[in-house]
Amino acid sequence: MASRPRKRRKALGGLAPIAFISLGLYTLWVIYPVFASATLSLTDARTNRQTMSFVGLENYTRMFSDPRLGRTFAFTLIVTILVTLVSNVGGVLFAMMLNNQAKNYKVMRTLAFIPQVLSGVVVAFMWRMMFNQNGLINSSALKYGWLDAPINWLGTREMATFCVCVTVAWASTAFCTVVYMAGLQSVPPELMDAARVDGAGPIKRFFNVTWPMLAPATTTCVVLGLIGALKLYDILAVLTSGGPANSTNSLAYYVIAVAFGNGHTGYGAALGILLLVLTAAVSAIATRILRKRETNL
Amino acid sequence: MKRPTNVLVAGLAVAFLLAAGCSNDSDSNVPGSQDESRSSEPVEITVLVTESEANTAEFWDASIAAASAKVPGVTVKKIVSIGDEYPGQLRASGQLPDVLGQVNVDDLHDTLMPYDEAWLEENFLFWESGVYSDGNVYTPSTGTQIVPLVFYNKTIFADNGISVPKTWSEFLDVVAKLRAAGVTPIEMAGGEGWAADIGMVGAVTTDVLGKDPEWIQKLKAGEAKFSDADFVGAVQKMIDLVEAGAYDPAALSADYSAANQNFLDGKSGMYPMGSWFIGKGYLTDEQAENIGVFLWPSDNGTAYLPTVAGGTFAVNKESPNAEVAMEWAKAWATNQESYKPLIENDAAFILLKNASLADLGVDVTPLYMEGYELATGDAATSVPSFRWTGGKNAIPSTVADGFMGMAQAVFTNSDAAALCADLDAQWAAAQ
Repeated sequence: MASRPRKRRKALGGLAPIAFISLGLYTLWVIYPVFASATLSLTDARTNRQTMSFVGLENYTRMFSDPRLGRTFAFTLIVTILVTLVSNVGGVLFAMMLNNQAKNYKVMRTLAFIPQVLSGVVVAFMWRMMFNQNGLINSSALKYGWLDAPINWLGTREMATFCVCVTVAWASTAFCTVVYMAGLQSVPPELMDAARVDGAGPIKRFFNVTWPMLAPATTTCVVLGLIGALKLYDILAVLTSGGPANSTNSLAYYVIAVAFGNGHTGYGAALGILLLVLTAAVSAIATRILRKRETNL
Repeated sequence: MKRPTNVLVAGLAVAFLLAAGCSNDSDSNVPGSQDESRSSEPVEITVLVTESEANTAEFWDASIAAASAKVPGVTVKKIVSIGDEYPGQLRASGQLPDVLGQVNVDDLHDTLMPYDEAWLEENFLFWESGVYSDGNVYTPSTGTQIVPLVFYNKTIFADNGISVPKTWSEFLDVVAKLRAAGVTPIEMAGGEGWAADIGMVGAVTTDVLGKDPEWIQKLKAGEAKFSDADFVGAVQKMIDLVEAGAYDPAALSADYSAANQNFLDGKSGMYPMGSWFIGKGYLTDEQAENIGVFLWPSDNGTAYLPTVAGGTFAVNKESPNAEVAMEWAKAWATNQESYKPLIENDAAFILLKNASLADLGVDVTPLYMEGYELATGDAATSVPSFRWTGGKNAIPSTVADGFMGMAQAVFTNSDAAALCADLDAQWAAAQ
């Protein structure tokens, strides 16, 4: 009996180097860059200047008088809300349709997941080929006489925002579908049977049994969806290049434009810190709310 | 309670050791050690290039090899740019290459090495046009492009009895006639900011810089503003074109390749684009035969030539191999073989003193010669092409970005004065 704690200590001792290395790498690759960015955000650093000075919180106060940041923030918020909503609703619907053990459904499940494994650049390029002036949608609709003139998909702020939401939601719905399908597997069949015996129809069974049992899957999909949408960059860079007239700049896109396009690295770093804080806060709040729902199960 | 503290301390120690390891590594590249080793060991320099349909990877590899052969002991590591922000990203991370192709001099001039004037004078025509506001030349003017030229479809013009316009009012008449004929009057790659603003570049260059070639210098000195009447007037012309139905309603959804294809397929009558469009990288000989070219029209018919006299390579003066890099860049710039593909595929109008087109043995179309005569003849007054030009007339990326956005914004915002005031605000923020 006396040897058990010694064995445990020995096992922990064996893991210690791995823990040290992990902590060291985490410090080097995560904590240090964040700390360096926070420090840079307190300076007037620019790429076309050799020197930089400490400016305190000037870069942060500048955000309040930056009109482009306001538009950027609004666009990011709209895309985040719409994409999270659409991909979760779509994910649940597809998951329920594909929740079948038959062999052909397995193939369909694999196909449903493909958009998620594609790179954002590929996804955006594909959709750009469809939304382009002579793209698949316009050319097909014109060919069959459904349209008299091509639709200006990417040419107005509203339409471009819509196209961004469709593209991002298409990719993230695939992820939600897989997560919700896993969630559906964990719904005990007895509960469904009991509900049926009690006379509950399909809609009642969904809202009273299935949906509550999907709470952990919802937490995963919503939180990761929010984080992904807030950090959106690659799809915008390829699909709209932030246009027209800079109307589809997300916060992440704007950070890159300010820091490297305009060369204002100090202000860009401050915007990066804003994005970090915003993402952390939104994720924490969403997790807290959704976890409460999980504990009510 | 001791264990977490120990783990934290040990972790931090590992991090610092790793960081120290990285520092030691980079310390071995101090300038002195490189310079001392140059005489006996080969030197590798990094060269940033931009690859395109016309300037392909094969072209760069061949021309880099040719230049390297002229500088003994030098090997080149080619780095391909991934966008306009890339040089800034590389600089911010301390990785700015030794030699830089097609960079915004205004953004990077303080880290660039000037070329010596005697060498420029000996080798290039009009090299003075590349002088930056501090009096130095950071990229030799190896060639020039005209941005924009207005290309037109000869068949469509002939079929509708349209002759080449020389004044703005004649240009508006052409737009009206093409529209009446059911042809999209002006092609536009509006989905890409750099291409969307080409027409606006023409209007601003002609109406603002045509009247006052020093206008950008005045802007930099605080003596001019975007909200000046001439600039607002040029933007208003773009709004007038949109309202006159000069563009396809979905023009802002067209990317560059779609716009090129539309024009070549005869879906549109005119296409303001850079002179590179004449190159064989974009046109076949057969297509070139049906295309004519004219300059962006001014109000009174005075012909202005919006030139982008620019070179290719700038040299990073902070590089430990700066002198070798400069030697290599000069070797590239004076190597005649480097220019043949640039002329044939990208339609560059070469400004070499010691070589004519015949000397270079290039195969070009009559359309190229038409453009070349415009670019090098006396028929038009040469003015710097707004937003595209380098040297002292370069503008910061942030303002260039705003200008490109404005060219798209005129499709939904018809308040030219407000748009220009917004650009003034961006200019102020960029200072």
